[in-house]
Amino acid sequence: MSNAVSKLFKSRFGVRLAVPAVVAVGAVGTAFVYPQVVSASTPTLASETTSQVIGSALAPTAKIYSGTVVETSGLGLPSSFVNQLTGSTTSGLSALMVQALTSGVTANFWTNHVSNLRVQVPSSTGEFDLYASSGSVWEWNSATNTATSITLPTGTQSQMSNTTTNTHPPSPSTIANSLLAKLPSGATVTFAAPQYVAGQAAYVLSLAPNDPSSLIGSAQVAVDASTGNVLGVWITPTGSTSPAFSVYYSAVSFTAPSSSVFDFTVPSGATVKKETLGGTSSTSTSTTSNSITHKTIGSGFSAVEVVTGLPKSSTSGTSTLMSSLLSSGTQVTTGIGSGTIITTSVATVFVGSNGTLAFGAVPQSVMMADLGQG
Amino acid sequence: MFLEELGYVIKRRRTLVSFALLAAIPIFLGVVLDIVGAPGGNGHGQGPAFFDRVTHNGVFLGFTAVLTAQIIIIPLIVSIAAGDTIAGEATDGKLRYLLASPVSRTRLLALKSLIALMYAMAAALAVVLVGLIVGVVLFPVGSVVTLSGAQISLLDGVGRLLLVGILAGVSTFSIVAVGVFASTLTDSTIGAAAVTFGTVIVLSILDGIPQLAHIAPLFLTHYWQTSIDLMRSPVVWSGILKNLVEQAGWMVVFFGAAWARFTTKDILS
Amino acid sequence: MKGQALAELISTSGLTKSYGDKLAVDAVGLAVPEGSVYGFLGPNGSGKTTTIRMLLGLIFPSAGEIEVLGHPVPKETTRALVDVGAVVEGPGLYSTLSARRYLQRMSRYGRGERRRSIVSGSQGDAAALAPDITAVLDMVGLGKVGNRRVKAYSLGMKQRLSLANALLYPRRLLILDEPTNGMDPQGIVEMRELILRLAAQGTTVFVSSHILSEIEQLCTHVGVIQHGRLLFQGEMGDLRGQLPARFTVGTTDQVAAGELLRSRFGLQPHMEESGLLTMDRAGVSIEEIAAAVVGAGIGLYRLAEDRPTLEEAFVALTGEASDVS
Repeated sequence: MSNAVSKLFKSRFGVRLAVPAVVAVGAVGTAFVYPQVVSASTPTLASETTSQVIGSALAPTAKIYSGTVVETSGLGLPSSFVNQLTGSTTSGLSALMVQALTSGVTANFWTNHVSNLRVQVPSSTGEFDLYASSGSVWEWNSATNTATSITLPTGTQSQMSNTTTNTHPPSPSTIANSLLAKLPSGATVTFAAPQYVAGQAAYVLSLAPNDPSSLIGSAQVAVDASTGNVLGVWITPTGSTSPAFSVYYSAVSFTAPSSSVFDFTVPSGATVKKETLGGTSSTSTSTTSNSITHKTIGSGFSAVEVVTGLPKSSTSGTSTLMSSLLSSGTQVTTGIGSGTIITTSVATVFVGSNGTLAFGAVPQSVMMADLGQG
Repeated sequence: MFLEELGYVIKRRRTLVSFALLAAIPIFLGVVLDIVGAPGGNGHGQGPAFFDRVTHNGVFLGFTAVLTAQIIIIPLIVSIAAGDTIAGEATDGKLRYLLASPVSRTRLLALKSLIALMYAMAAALAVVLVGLIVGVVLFPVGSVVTLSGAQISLLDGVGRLLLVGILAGVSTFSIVAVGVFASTLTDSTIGAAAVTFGTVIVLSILDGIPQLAHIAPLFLTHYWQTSIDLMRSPVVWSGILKNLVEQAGWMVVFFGAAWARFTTKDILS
Repeated sequence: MKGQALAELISTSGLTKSYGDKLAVDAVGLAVPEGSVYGFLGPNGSGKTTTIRMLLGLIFPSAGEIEVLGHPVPKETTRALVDVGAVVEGPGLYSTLSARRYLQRMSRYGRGERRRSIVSGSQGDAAALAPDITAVLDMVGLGKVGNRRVKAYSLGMKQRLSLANALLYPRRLLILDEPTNGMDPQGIVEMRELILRLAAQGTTVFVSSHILSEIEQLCTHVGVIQHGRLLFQGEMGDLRGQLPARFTVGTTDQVAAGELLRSRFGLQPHMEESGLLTMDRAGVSIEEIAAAVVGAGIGLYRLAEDRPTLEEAFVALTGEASDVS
């Protein structure tokens, strides 16, 4: 064998073959190894304290106008639930949410930070788009050739357009901010090795929750060294080494996009639908509006949020999504009533049959104990 | 020599049959849609890309046809053409006379490869052009709606259709390179074509296996579907550029290997 | 025809081709003089075709040097072959093309290199870029069937077409590997006449065959190859000269005559079954023998001096007949 190989290399063919062979190695190298080396390579950054980096993350010096957000999820949802979800959904926003929950979504976005937001989720055969401008939101689904006009509930319009235009779901900074809000007492912050995220050199903060009962083992937050923008968040469950959930940019741009990317007029031949967001809840809240309450049990990374007084329809299994979710959970009785409890690798959710909802990054036992007190 | 080879390939019966087959795809799709009508109701979003738009706008027949043909038919026809380049001459001892005519091996290989690349491009464009013509004849035409829901002019739409066709052609350049290399290894056209087409099929199957996701970007089929990004607003170029780099990489490696092989091979046939 | 004067249009030294441990061609040193008709003789499988393929740059030698028309092969194969016409081991034709179309295709293929060599002034002839295909077809006797598809041709016709390809352009050298394969006797005669005509016009011809009788009357030079080794190379007469001429003597008293020739000239007469005496010439002239026999009073009715045949020389060299036919 080695004789045959050495013969090959001594032959004219072998010598000439060296040319494409070198190119092949080079091509594989550049296509394959080089990006890994770059992403694995450690940028050299000015030394700062963790609180300095947290400070810059809370007040970025430049705005991200467009880019690509990658969300991955390995939450460990009950498999019966996942199967039902992926089997029952058709397309559009609900399908995207299912995809985001079960595997992951990659989306491009553009914003002018004033009144416009565009989110584009491309697929190999089509795309799903969200065009939001002040007062009008359009959902576009190329697979069904359907444009859906989304009407926001009165009064919430300005507030909604603010949130949609200033952030974009799912944004690394929104998640990072909620994590950083639990500091300084909730977790120990250290530096992990700096990394390149979306081509930007970034500090990586590592948050280790102090509370041993939290399902979150650690959270990594990448902060752009030059602008302070949060470029990525990785959440690793207790006892695991790989993240169960992550949101990060794979590309960012700090220059304002052309206004044409926000333009949307319903194309001829498309099906037009209308949808009112929160329409059902607004009618039911009118009867029960004063009874919605919100409280937090515990603090830091083991806090459990409890919402009571929600319309029963929203927590009972009337929608396909909700009923399949509920059927995959465990029936329990707690101090705030009976319901279904569902546990994933980083969160536990309790859905009460009387319109109660509780969630937190704690195991089922802690959740039960907390609710028992309520 | 170039014109001689071009004329020779164009006049071959195999070329005629291949292009008739390619033209049959849009004709068949168009006629079926014209008779049966667009898939309605639950059929929405089913079938090849843009399939349900064709009856509203004939321009989309070109897209549907080329995106359909790109998966099997075009690679098959390109594999046969590329596998024939050298092996086809080697059968019946024609190759030794061509070389003794005389022509240098490098020059002969370059000529045959160039013609095969042109053939591949022509195959993709034939599907697009026949699709466009059949679409215009059978269905109404008008401004084109992109995947993002934006409306672009008919001219812009036809321009993008041609670009999709060109990209479909370029996407098969890697197949030509593999086929020409295979063709230098054997005297059997069928053998070289089968190995080439088999490579394409195996790679496209492996491309779908999640466990191989790490090496999948190296597969020549991996970025084929990115040509659809031309139909987004704005056009997303990153995947298309990756495809071009991918094709160029395969071409350099396999044309290089073909050159190494052919210029050092004993011609025994 | 232009081009520098060369003593030898083909010259090789130590030319060797091995496949694994087997030597197909073993240190062959060919020397084909300009203006010669060189017969390359050897039994089937002796290495003739391998050698010819190496001359044409189709096979790469394991060792040794080749020069064709002064150009090293395979380094400058295309340059070397511009003025070479070749028929290699049977025809290689496109069955769907007509003879005319085939020659057109081949001429266009060779034209590029031909044009380059004319521009560089080394070889070739500007007037010959567009060959007269009709004339070439007539030359090989295919004038009437030139528009027919090659598919319908007999093997002999295909062989003629292959020769026509070799003759497309005026050539300094023709390399013909078994050109008469598959031809009928009439075709073989025509082929022979054609080669003689071309040779008379100054074309050097290198022709291989395993049938000695076919090229015996053609060749001025000959090389004999067996088991990959060149056993003999030189002028045709020299090959015959390898064997001595012989006398055949018929007398009224063979015993006495035999004794006389042995004692007088030191010859070694041998009594054949026919009753005639034969002996090697051994420097004795035929007149001396006649005078001696007649002078001794023996009746002489037959006296001949025979030159050995090429076949005899070939058998003497190789130990086997050139061909069973």
